Parts: sequence; structure tokens; C-alpha cells
Amino acid sequence: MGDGRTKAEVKRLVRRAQQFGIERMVALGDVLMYGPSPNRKQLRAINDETAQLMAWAPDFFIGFCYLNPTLGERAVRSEVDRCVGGLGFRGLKLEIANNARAACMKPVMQTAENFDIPVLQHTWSQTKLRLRSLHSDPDDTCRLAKRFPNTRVIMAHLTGCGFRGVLAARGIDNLWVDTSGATPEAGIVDHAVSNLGPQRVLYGSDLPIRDLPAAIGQIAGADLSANDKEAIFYHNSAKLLKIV
Amino acid sequence: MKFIDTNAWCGSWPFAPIQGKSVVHPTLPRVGYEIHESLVSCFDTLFQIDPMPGNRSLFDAFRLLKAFIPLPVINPATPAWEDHLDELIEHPSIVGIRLLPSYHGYRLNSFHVRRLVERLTEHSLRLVITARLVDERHEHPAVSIKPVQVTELEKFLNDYPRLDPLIQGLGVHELKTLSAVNGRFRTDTSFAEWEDTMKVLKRDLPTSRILFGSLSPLQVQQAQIDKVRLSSISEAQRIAIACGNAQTYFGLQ
Repeated sequence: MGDGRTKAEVKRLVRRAQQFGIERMVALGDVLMYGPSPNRKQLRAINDETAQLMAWAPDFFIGFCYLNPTLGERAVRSEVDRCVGGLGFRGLKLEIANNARAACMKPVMQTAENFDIPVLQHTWSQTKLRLRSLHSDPDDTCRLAKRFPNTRVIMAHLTGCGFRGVLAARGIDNLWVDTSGATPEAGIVDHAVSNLGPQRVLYGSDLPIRDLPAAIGQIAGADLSANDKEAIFYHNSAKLLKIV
Repeated sequence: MKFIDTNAWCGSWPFAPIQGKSVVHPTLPRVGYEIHESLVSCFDTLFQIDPMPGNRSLFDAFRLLKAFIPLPVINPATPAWEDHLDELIEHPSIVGIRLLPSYHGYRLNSFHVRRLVERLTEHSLRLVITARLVDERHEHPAVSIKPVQVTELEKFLNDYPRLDPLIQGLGVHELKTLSAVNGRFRTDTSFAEWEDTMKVLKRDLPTSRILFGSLSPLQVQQAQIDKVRLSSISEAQRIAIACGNAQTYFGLQ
């Protein structure tokens, strides 16, 4: 949560978000605090911080359990048991410890299926970045969703995935994309709705490294129907996270 | 709240299905929401060595639309740039010119830029520098356009201590770095983002130096407006960023 490490800061953030109509917010953890590949202790500390947010604002934050798949099956299962089974987290979060095609993803996806929770995978087009050994391109995340059709996958960062990423995501029934991750580039949300359908797009802000009104405005200002906007802002996530 | 958009564009953009395809029949930038005036440049000046066809169509398109103030582009890397400037200066509505070093392939320390700065100062015209137009991570695979680096901007500001240019398209961290070494510049809001962006920006930059810029139609105009309008800074500061600073800087009515 960046600056939001104290209860007062978090309360302020919650108040500001609620002022703009945000009812619930998924907290993913300060996932790069210890670099791209945290050890078990570091991972636990990050997830404990997420649990703290949930404790401070239980009706607002929904925790996702951050994982480092390269730590192996035992570590993955143990942390998911602790966070999802014990602390009430409702999804898994993956960043840049490994590419989504890596073999170490299998226990993560199987565990998500067992708990019936979604997996949010950081994804960014690697056309320009060329960091694919650790970062997942949209092609990688889409392949992950296809390999594990019984697990719901959220491909994060629509703008980073770009027009090519949207095209890669077509026809994958267990895949959603979120709108977080960059300045509010025009046309990309409309493109996603047109190619994937409004039910496949989820609102995301990427707080605190992005501006909340701008993240909302990217969808509010898109050339979409009121029903489509409502689906993206609320209904799709509510259904996916089973909060209705 | 009244806004003056200092970073609006029209013309053809080849890389995304956005509106505003034609400078002859402009559909964007739109004077909707709360934008009262827009300083507009033309995309057609970006990928052609000679920016004048794009500049001329810009002046033609907005000749009768007072809410749109043409902000023409000069390419100092062309041998004819002084003639171009002479032609542009004849337009009564001109308030400044825009440079796009990354798109036209020159450095800000070039001899021609030095001469250009002298000419602009002579005519009391503002200099607008586009440091970034598109997130370089999202560029089309066929192009590789890097933003103007902070170190280059720093040297430029040091070379012209009284110039006070408007530098557009910088992110929060770049602005923090640049303002720490040389604060004699203005910037726009187009690429700066963090939770409650304006509150974060004003830690490093006086609000009097921040001007609203939407980068429309490349970016969603409403999102850019809301970034300022819904910021937690004082109303007076929001009004200054939205329009007051641009009015003062460009001498608008």
C-alpha cells in the first residue's frame, strides 16, 4: 500500500475511495517490497500486512494472498492454507517471480482450484520490455488460463497488455482482464469490451502508484453504455469474488 | 470548474483506434466536460520532417473556433525552420510553439535550438517541450521513441535560466528529480500519476508551475480532468492548475 502503512493513512485512503463510490477494494500486498522473488519469511510479512489492512477495514478490503511459486509446492500450499484457509483471503496474487508458463505454476493453479478462488497474474506486454524470463506477456497469461481451465485467472493491467493482449484473451472462458496499470490511454477499454465482452473486464486502480479518480475516469469516460460501465465497475468483480 | 487544456491534439494518429482522425473535421479535442479552451497541436507534424502542412491545416481547421488555440510545431532539424517560424508568427492567435525532440531526432543543446530560443524570446512566445507523448513501454513495435531524458532537460534549463519553458509528459519521479536540480520550468498533468496526484506533485513543485494538460485524444479526457477536479488540494490550487496558471503563462483572456 505504499504510504498507507499506518491505520490513520489507511483510514484516510478508505474514506477517499468511498467518497468516489468504491465499496470494496482488493488488497494485493506491497509485492515488490523485497524484490521480485521474496523468501518464505518475506512473503509471510507481506501477507501479514495485507491481513492488517483487512483487520483495520474488514468491510472494505478483500485480501489476495501473494505467492512466490518458485519456492515450491510445499511453501505455496502452506501459505495459501494460512492466508485463505485461516485469514479469509479470497484470491491469489502473482507478480514477477517467474513467467506464467513456468512449471512451478502447477501447484499454484491446482491450489486455487481446490479453494475455488481466482489467480491474479501481473502481465505486461514484453514487446518493448524484453524481461520475459520473469515477467509474463499476455500470451503467457492466456496460455496459463488455457492450461488450467478450471481456475479463474485475472490478467492484470489492461493498458500494459495492450491491443495485442486483448486479442490474445479472446475466447478464454476462465480469463478476465483488469483496467489497472498505466495512464488512462484512450480506446483500450472500449477495445477490450468490443473483443471480450463487457463481462470480462474488471475495474482496477493500481493504487497507490496511480490516481484513483483517473482510474475511475478511464472507464467513466470511455465510449461504453451505462450498463457496460456498471458491469466493469462492480458486477463482474462482485460475481467473480462471490461478494454478492 | 473551468479548464484550459494545454496539451490537446488533433489529426491522424496511426497506432490506435481513437477519435479525432481528421484535422479538417475535428471531433476531438472536444469542448465538452469542462474544457473552455484548448491549446491544440497536430499529430500530422510528428512523423513528417516538414511540420508545416500539419501546422497550416491546424490554423485552417480552428480559424473560426476561438476555443481552440493552435500550438504549432517547429522542427529545428530542418533547414527551413526559420522560414517556418516567420510564417507562424504572422498568425495573430499564436502564443507559443511546441518542440518534439524525440520525434524529430535532435537534442535540446543543438545550435538551432539555441537560435530558436533567441527568436522566441524576441517575439515573446512561449516554448512548450514534449518530453513524452506515449508511454514508451506501449509504443507500436515498429517505432522506438524514447522520452527526453531528465539530464538533458536539466542542462537545457541551466543553459537558459530565464526561459521558463512548459515541459509536458513527465512522470512524478522525473518531475521530482528535475525540480530538485532546477525548478525554473512549468509542467503539465498528463503523465504525472500517484494516489492523489496533485497533492503529491505539490510536495516538490509549487502549484503555480503545474498546468492542466489532458493529452487528449490519446488519453481519456475525463480521467485527466477528474485527476485535478477531485484532488484533495485546496479549491484555489485546483482552479489555478485547471486554468489560472495557463491563463497567466500564455497571457490568455
